[in-house]
Amino acid sequence: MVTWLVTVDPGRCIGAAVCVGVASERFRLIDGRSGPVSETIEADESVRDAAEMCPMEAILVRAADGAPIAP
Amino acid sequence: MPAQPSTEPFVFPFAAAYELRHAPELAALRGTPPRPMLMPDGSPAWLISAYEDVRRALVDPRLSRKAASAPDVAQTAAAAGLSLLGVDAPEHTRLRRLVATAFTQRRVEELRPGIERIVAGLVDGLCDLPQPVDLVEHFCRPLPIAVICELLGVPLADREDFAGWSAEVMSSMDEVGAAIAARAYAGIERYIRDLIADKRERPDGGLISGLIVARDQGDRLGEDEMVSLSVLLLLAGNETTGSQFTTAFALLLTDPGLRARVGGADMAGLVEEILRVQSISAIGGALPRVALAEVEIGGVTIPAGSVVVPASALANMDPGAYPDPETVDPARPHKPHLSFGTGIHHCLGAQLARAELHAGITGLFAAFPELRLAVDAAELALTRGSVMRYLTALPVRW
Ligand code: HEM
Repeated sequence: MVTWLVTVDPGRCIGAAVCVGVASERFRLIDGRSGPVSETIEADESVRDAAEMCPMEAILVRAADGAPIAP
Repeated sequence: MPAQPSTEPFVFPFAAAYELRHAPELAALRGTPPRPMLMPDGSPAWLISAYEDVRRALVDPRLSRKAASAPDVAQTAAAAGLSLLGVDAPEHTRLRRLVATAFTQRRVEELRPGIERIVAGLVDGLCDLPQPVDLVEHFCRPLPIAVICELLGVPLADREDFAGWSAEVMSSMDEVGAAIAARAYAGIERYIRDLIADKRERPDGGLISGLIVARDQGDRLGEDEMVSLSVLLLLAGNETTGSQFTTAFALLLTDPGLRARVGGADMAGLVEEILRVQSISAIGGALPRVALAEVEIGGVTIPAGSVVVPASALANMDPGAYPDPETVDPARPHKPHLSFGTGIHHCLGAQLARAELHAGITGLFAAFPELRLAVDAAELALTRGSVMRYLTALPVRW
């Protein structure tokens, strides 16, 4: 199993929620800003898609060793 | 107040939405549970109006834009089912990823000086005209077109052609309007095919050339997909942003308190509030969906196959989400309005549109501190015969 780390920068997020549309199991909106349902996930292409489609580039996906995966 | 029980289909008061001020018929629909309604062509649909319900509908993958783009479904505008707007995941994901990076906040920051230059050029042009000057024709309409042309690499000289096409493609979908819209759409598609042929020979740094590379070198999209995506990029921002400028100026030129806040510390909040209260069309920018399965929204069961109308314009005025919704308050607590939609189809150009509105509004009032209406406020009217809420004219002096 490959583990990824997912974070959303609340200072950048504007709540467009493209990520919630792309990966509804992985992101949820609280008080108008997105956050990961879990910061540690099994590798999931939809999360990479979400990070690459975020207009604010607020989503950071990293490998378990910290190496950047997306955006 | 609606007299009929909410299970009886009612005719949505489309006409009432083409007033600058919010009509009581529409206010009565705010924050209400999903209910059956009739589209302008008489076909049945479900109206979603409460903020949380509209938000949920727009991120629900069972509510399909692809199914809503079939020819037999009531269409709100000729180009509504085009490209990104007519597909669901995973097709949508593949196409949107090709263009998403060109519209990020970071890219828009790089474009900002160019936008400010375009604004300055339009301001110079205004100075040469005899007053009163119509802001719609000389500022609101040309500004977004100039911006998107630069981004896509469309030659300046061709702009006149598709200013007309952009407006015509948004003609009301009655019989006459639909024919006008179809003709305009054909014109713009032909234009784009020629432009692509030209850019294949003479590539530039524009987005169309970028798509050609993705097509020809990466095979990441088909030829027709490239054409329709280019048409969408060329069209999607023009009447929308133009509409928003016209209602924004109408609001600011008739409300000295708001106008005083232009260029101030809460300018970003002011732009958000203008976007929230003045929608670009009767139901708002978000388009109808079709339910691929039975869905439950706001406690109401909507059968599979239903047309679902997520009315972003009403959601933005839901008193449960925005207390005292008609008040334009740039200092409201963070609560993302739905004027750009939400979820996978969230407006690709949202950050660009915000930058245009910011630069256009501050630039114009900075250049003309004495800017004022040259007609009585009561004379301001929205265009009939267009899907967009667009002022017919905004005569001003300074
Ligand atoms: C104030 C101006 C604008 C408003 C209010 C607006 C509104 C919207 C809305 C509500 C949607 C989502 C439709 C839906 O979910 O059914 C949308 C989609 C879209 N907008 Fe905008 N828009 C504006 C300006 C722009 C600009 C400047 C562009 C530049 C190219 C643009 C390009 C697009 C595109 C390509 C889509 C389709 C996205 C997708 O389906 O993935 N828009 N817009």
